[in-house]
Amino acid sequence: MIPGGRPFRLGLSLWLIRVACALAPGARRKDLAAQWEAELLYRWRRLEASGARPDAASPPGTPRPPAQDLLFWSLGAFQHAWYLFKTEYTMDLIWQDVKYGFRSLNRTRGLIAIAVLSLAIGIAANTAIFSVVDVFMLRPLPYPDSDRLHMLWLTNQDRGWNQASFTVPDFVDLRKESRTMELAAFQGGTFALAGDFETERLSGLYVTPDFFRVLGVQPTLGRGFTDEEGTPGHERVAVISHGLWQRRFGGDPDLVGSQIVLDGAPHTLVGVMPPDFWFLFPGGDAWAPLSFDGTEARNSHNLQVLARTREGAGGGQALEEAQRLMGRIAQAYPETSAGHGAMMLTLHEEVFDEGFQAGTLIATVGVFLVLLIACANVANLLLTHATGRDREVALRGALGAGRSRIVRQFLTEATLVALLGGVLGLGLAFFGIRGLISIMPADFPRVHEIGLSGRVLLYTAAVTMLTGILFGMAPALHSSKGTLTDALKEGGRGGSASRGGRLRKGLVVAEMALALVLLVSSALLVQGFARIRMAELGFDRSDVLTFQTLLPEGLYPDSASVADFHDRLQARLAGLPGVGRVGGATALPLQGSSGTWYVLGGEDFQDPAARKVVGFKYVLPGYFESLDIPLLRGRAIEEADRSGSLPVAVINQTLAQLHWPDSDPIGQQIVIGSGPREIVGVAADTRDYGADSDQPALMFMAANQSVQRFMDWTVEADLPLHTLVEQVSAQVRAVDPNVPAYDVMSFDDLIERALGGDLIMAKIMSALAVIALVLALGGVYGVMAYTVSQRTREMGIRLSLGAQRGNVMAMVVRQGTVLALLGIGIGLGVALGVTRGLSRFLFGVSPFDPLTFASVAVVLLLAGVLATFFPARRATKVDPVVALRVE
Amino acid sequence: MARKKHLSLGTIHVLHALARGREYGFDIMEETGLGSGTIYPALDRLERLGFARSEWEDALIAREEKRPPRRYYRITPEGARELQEAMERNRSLAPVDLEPHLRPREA
Repeated sequence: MIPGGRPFRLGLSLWLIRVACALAPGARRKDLAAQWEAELLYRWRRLEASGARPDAASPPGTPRPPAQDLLFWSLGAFQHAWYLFKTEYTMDLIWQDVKYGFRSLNRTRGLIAIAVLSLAIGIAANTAIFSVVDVFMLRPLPYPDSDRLHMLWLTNQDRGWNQASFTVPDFVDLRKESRTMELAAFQGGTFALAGDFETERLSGLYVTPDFFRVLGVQPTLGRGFTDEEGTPGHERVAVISHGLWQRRFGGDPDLVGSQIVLDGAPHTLVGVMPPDFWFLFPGGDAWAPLSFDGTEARNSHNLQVLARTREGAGGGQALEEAQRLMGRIAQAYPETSAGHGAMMLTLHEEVFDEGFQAGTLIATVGVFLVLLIACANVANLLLTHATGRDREVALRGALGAGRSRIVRQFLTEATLVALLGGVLGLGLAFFGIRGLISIMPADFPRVHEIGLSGRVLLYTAAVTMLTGILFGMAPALHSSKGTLTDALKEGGRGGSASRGGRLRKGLVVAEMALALVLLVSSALLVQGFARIRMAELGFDRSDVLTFQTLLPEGLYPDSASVADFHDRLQARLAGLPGVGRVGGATALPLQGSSGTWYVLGGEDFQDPAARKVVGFKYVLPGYFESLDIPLLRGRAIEEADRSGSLPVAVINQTLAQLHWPDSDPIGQQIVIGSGPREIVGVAADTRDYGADSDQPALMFMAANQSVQRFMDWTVEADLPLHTLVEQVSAQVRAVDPNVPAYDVMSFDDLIERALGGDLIMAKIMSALAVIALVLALGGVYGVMAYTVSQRTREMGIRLSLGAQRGNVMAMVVRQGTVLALLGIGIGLGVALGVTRGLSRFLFGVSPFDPLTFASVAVVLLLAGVLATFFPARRATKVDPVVALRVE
Repeated sequence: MARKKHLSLGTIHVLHALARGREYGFDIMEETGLGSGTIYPALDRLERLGFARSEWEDALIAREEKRPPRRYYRITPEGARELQEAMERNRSLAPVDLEPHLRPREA
């Protein structure tokens, strides 16, 4: 038809036209193609005849070469095809199909109800997880041009630092030299906000004055910080959150410009941030400027650095520059900075780190598997629904219905099921999302944004349509295949259902395999979860109630007044019935600790080479006892260790091993910035950072030998802990009504809150696994029940010929078992490949744990056999006479 | 078949082009400046409504130019009447002599 040697653009145009015509209704396809091709070739010939080379570059003055024009022109064929499709498949026809579909589905209500429910569960799970993935992973962070925001970190391979904080001089140099980035620095901090009746502990940040500008968010009320406010000795100023402004100050618009007392010092409030503002994690309430006086040391790493790449500079360019600048610093100050380098993360990677990335990926795969199982289930049920209709289909065919019409009918019915499932699923998703939010730990960012947004609804709609097409395909293909005569004849047979049987069984095997993968994954995750909860952490927390207090500086100006508060509260708490030892620390195990430089007695604290880092916390007497942490040598921190007495410290075993592997550390000195401490005891190690981490070196100093206004209390009790909550709060009020007790909860709850981010995976996957199990077993049951009902006649014959009921039953069960075994076998193989990806959330449980694999396989097999048992029993109840009379 | 329903402006333009003697999609495109995705469906619609009819080009002419025969369209008397009404409603269309189109043509 087309003469050979055609130019490329002509070929492309012809190809486009052909694709478009393939989409048009069959009856018009040939006509359409002929018309479009003829027009195209006519034009081409005319162009050639006119002497212009159609493929040549455009002559000056014309927008594009003629060949390209033709290419655009060919796109019109798609519109034409769509127009024909619309006119052919009118609303009337669709409505006919729908009405017919409803009637047909209604005939097997029970079956369809199960299908719709399966699908609804699958869609709900997907919708719920997508709503989270969307907010965490897909939406840009709520800052202008947020893709240009990065976090800059210090690295030093020699010292094994891959993500360390910067020092003030490093930061000042970087900021001065950088051409590709605007830089701001910040430091986490807590502020004690003094009020008329109580002091509130606020979390917040100390930031360089340009922080808000670099981030791109300014206070809605008042202003951010000026550069002068970042100079030492300037009047103190602060910015607070919208939430705090509402909560503490009743949203008073005249508040800006007035004074608030933070950490005992008056600050002028200069601004209130917008309502939903957050940075790195939710809950920041106060910001104050950082000031540098130029005397900061080049070895005190305490600044985190936010970077905004300038217009036109990519992240790679910026990183290169940062590395170059750090290299220069390393050369200029080798004694403090040798080996320094830099690394960069996007702010999004910083906020939603690998834990979030892996977690959302696993959950997405998990819900996708559940959806696949649901689809397999629905396809199966629709196949069953369709198989009973062979004769109907044949009859419609005989009466002149085209194959496409019949396929369309099946697709319409599948779409109806999908739509019902989608609507129901959306309803379920509403509750699913609430459930998901409720198990999210408080420190997850953006949680309040999770919900049924427009994008989520769009996603649900897409999933619904896709599944409808996916499982509608099976019965449609199946039904359009058979020949007319076969189908009309088959009615009399009622024998073993071979057509579609293999497909149906294949679907069940796939379901079992998928369910096994999910079950194994969740079993591993739950074990990891249990391991954390049950782990031997080196201290007994089961009988410990915790709470926090923060003393206002104005009322507790010195060591004596703070110690007095501690003493009185300890005495009151210890006097409560059922309460054992009472202690406290500035940070509890699993809550981390601060680090400090130290040297040993005899070494020079000013010598950078001698300085080492150790974690430390201040503790009250009774701390070790209340947590049952054994003292290996010497004594614990005691009542007598208070201001004026010899400064003492207890060290942990790791620190003792580090410096005195063969000798007694008792009586040795350890020197920190505030002076020397004498070691009086060695405590057993506790796994302060969780069961899967090594214990770092730690030292404990006496809280009452310094001024520690913040305290985490530990109250050991042999009562149900919740009964103590009220009494403890009352005792704190009784000591000082200005001091509230925060976060009164059991230590176990505290730990769960601290580890919530990791445990959430175990919870989500367990829920998914249960759903998968139920759906898969439903699938096995459905297929076996169907097979038995198809073989009623065969059973009848077997029984009347003398088969034992037991044999018939065994036969059916055997068939189900074979399917289950096949599925389990395949599932085990897949699971072995999949579980490796979970290891981050397993806390030391092997991703290939044989016991888990074996027990899940056995459980699934038993459940599968059970699912075939009931259909099998029905088979034996067949009355031969009735069975033979069927049809 | 022909329901009384106002044609879209694009379709009227196509009808107008037919009345001015354009017979093929490409020619109408040049005359009206409309896109191919508008013109061809509009031609289908006009034919469906009885305002235009189409025939395939004489195969001999096509063969001479070494290309497949094209489909060409003519306005019908019903179409001409429809266009007349449309032109009364819409003054922006260039006047065209509809007289020859209003008489039934011998097939």
